[in-house]
Amino acid sequence: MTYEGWLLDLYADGPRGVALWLVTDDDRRVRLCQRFPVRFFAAGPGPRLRALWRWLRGREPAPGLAREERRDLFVAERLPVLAVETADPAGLQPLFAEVEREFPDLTYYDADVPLTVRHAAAFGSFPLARCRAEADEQGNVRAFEVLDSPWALDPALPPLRILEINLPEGDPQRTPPTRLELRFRAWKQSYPWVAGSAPAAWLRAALQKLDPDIVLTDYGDTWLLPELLRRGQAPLSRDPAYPLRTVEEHTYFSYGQIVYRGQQVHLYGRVHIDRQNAMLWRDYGLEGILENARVTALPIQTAARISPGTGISCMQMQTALRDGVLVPWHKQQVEQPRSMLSLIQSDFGGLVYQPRIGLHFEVGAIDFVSLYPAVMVRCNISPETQARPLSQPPAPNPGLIPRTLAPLLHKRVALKTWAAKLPAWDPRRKSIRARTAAQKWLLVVCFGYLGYKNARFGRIEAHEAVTAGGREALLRAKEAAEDLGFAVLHLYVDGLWVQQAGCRTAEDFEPLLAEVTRRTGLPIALDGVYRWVAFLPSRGNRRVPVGNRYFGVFTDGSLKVRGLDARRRDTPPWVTAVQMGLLECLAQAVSPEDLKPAAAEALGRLRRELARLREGKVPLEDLLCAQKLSRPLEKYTHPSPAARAAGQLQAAGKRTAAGQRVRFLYVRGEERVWAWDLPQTFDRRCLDVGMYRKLALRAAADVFQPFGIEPEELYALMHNAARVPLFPLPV
Amino acid sequence: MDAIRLPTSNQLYVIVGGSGALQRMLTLAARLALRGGVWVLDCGNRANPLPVVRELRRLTMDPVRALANIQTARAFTCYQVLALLEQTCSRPVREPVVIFDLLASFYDESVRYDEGQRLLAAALGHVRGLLAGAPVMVSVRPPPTDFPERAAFVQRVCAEADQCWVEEAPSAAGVYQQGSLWT
Repeated sequence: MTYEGWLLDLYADGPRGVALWLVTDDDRRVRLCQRFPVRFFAAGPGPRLRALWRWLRGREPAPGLAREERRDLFVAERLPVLAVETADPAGLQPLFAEVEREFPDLTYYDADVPLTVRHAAAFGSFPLARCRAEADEQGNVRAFEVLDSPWALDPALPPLRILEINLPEGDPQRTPPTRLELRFRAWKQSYPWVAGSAPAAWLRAALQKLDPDIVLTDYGDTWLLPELLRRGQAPLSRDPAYPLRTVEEHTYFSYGQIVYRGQQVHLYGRVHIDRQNAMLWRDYGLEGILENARVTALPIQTAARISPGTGISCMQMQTALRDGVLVPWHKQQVEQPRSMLSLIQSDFGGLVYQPRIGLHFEVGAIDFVSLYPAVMVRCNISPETQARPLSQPPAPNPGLIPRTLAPLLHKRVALKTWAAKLPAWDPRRKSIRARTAAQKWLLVVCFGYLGYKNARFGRIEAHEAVTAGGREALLRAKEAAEDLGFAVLHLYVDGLWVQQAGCRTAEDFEPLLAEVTRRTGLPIALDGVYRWVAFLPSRGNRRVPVGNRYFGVFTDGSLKVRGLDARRRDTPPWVTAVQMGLLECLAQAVSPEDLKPAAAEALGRLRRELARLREGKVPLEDLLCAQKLSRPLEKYTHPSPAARAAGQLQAAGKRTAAGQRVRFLYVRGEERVWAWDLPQTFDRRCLDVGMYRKLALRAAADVFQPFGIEPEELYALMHNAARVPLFPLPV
Repeated sequence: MDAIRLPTSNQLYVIVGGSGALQRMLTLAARLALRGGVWVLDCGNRANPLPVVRELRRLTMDPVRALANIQTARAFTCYQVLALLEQTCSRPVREPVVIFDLLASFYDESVRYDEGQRLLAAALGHVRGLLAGAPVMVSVRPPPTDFPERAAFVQRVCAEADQCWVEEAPSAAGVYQQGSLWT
């Protein structure tokens, strides 16, 4: 029998191989089974490999064993290895764990490659790929063919059935729910959250009737699904043989930040995504997750939860497996010795030219498109290759990393180009934006992964070569701009801010873009033309510029803000709104002459907001700070406000893990904070109004400073309600 | 432990301590570089070149030449530490070897205790191999409070040492406190 449709899920299915779930063209959900033996490899001294061979041969059932020669990316000669093959994909990990315990001195390869990545390397499969399968009566696959490419710009996707399970009151661990809401397409039903098994029964009925492909929840991982299952049985997974799989909560460091990931609930034959526990849901939503799954070949529910670093690592593994390159279990490649002088000369980051502090009119901002990935592809930077300078043509035989990145990079550029040509009302623009956002994160982390200690195909020298290429590209761009008569106001890693009298439209900057591309061979785009842009100084020293702290208004009236309080996630929403409101007032100014009245209006707006605060008219929710716990609570010697709030919650029996955000209000008194999720009712009279006033004034001072109003003057003005001694504007 | 003496024979010197010990190791590396070649193996991303440069500036008119005498390589996991020591051992090393923060990656929570023990034993074997050609100076930090059992790793390294310095934590009793001006 032949089935044609889309691949929804793939997982290990005991000795039978892998289970494949297809969404067929006639809207059926079909479970097939495919034989899929998997292998890992061991390398080391001959006698030890022979000992391993004897040890494995004596096992019941004995795995398939073969002596082979394979390529390690970091070793010039092909390595003699022992290949160990098991018919049961799920049995590989336990077998490998035993082998590693018995023979810890051997070097292992391909030991922890995800199953879907192995399948992708063998068949070109990926989630939601169009495919055709021939199977017998029992559903055993005889032939499997993928009819799709992850690099297709506008793929036809299946008509997925999506069931939403919502808790309208928000976090159930903070506020006990009173209602459960189910939503499927246009159908929506609300049920009371009552004691007993009723909620589970309602969900069971919905699952049986609607048979969804995707279950979309809030807090489904950390509370809702475990709680529903505790109350009664519900066929959450589509596959009755496999109820569900849970992954424990964990906290880890990423890019210097502590990150908390809650417990996960994965289903079989059906996809569960918890919007609150999904990585970057707010950035790219379901469409971005599906794109992530398609390009990384990870299961959809895994792609929703893993970091982009794991995604890019899986893409590299796929390339390696397809090329017959071994995937090391532990990277053992070390930096080659060099002189400390050479280390000092090469171990640098991106290039930054400090901006000219103050207000500038008619400024063009141009950015390299995905600079570091583009440099990696253009200069052929990979652990096994010698980087080529920008002045040379691209390498004829690209290395593993450029081969992995090039299709992703080209797809992103093509999608962005396509989106730019679509009219503003076209719904595809939103979808493309989500997909390119997902791709962007994969491309962003691919550079960091070259220098990451645990990256299988990382190499610190390659990491340094990328930043060197980036610096070279930016310098060439700067020289091109200066040769064409532009003044360079600021350089920041991959972007330039340039100005020339008379250049005020996108067309005026096109010769510069063409010249930069000619000199670097890298794609560059105009981010926009600013009516005006203000580069801010350091708060500590007003004579010192800061690289990435600015705000400005593009010619279409849209704002761009970087490094201000409004961009921080721990700023209370009211402070963010005040700062953005002031900027919106200023954004109305079309010409330099308009700025003076606009600034006066902004000052008036600030006065009104401070009055609202004083009069208690700002809702408490808008004054909430949300800060992360940077370490476990007991490890604080001088507790931060977040730690003090977490301490209050702990005393009330509510645990907060490191990496989780704690919401609190600033209050007067010894504690100085009030944890928002405490069960007691908050007395508004305790609110530290002075603290919020200070935060708002500090945020406002950043906005007014480029317009000639120094922070002290602003504080005096707001304190005394005096008239504004306006300007002079630095026009 | 005010200053670490320059090594005079092919012995294993171990310095146990935190930032103070690290600073002394950096100073030592700078002073060794003035005399000739020196190998700096950085196993904890701690061998910041800038303090070395500052020390060299203080000691010589030509810090660049001295910097060129320092051969350095970094390892970021305990598997890489082992590979780095193995690789260094395979060279005919005749210059002093300074190993920074040898145990940093052995305190990684993702490394099992017994695996760490095995790797450390192999790493110390290579350190002994290096001693055939040159003196070796190793700095180690005590384990973080989460892994008190890994203090055994420090003891294991110290047991291998010909000379061992331990940085003492400043005791509260030893800190000078000014008396009240008004009594």
